[in-house]
Amino acid sequence: MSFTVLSPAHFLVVAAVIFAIGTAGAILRRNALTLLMSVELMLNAANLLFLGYAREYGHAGGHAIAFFVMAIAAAEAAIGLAILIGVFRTRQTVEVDELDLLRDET
Amino acid sequence: MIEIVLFYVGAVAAILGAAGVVLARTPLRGALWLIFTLCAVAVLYLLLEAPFVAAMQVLVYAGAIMVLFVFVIMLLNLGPEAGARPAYVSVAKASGLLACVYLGWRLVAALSGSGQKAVDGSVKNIGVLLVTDYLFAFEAVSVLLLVAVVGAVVLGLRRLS
Repeated sequence: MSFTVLSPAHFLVVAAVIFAIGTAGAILRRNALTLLMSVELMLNAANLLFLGYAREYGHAGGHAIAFFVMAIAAAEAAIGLAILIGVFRTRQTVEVDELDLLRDET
Repeated sequence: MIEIVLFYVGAVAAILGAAGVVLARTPLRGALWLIFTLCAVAVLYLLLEAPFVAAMQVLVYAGAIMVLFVFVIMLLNLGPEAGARPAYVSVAKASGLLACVYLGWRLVAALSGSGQKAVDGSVKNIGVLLVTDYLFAFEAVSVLLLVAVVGAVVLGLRRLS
């Protein structure tokens, strides 16, 4: 991988870094809103991979898949935020640590 | 030459923005960093000859979805203390992070092809693909969006009974 000539590997490295940051956020952060945004970061990294491969193989199928990923991200954000509002209404918190209703206490 | 400069500007901006999302003290700052990241990633999409997806990224992601996020953050009106508690370290988290690093390393190591072909990322070509090769996925996504709209309305009702 050269640093002066643009190649697919450049985009794949950026996608891997963004995915890793998103995963770290989803694992480490306690706020459910930040958690959802980290998931969006991971979806974006996946999109970057799709487009990188679409260019490498010269096929626009990756563009169509990226389009689907965006639609699914929109659905996920709508449902996730609706659930968050419902949770906040009953528990007055969006901290994932305090949402332990299903935890086995034994 | 201009391409490689644009790539480094977009890549550094995207990675800094991603770090800002994860490290931001309040969710609202995280959301603003996420919008910054999405726009930077759109620049990378443009470099990958995907103008349609880049436009969709700015319109749908940075426009519609992030407005929803900001709206909910302001609706919940969380204080700056929310989420500021230090995260504890456990074996599962450490091993998960190690797995992330390993995944990234494997991705970089495995992918070093350089044979690029031209790809037609025009609206026309993608539109034709959507209603021919990806017709079933297209219809499935439209049903999924309908279900998501109905589900969001049902979840948002004041009383579930």
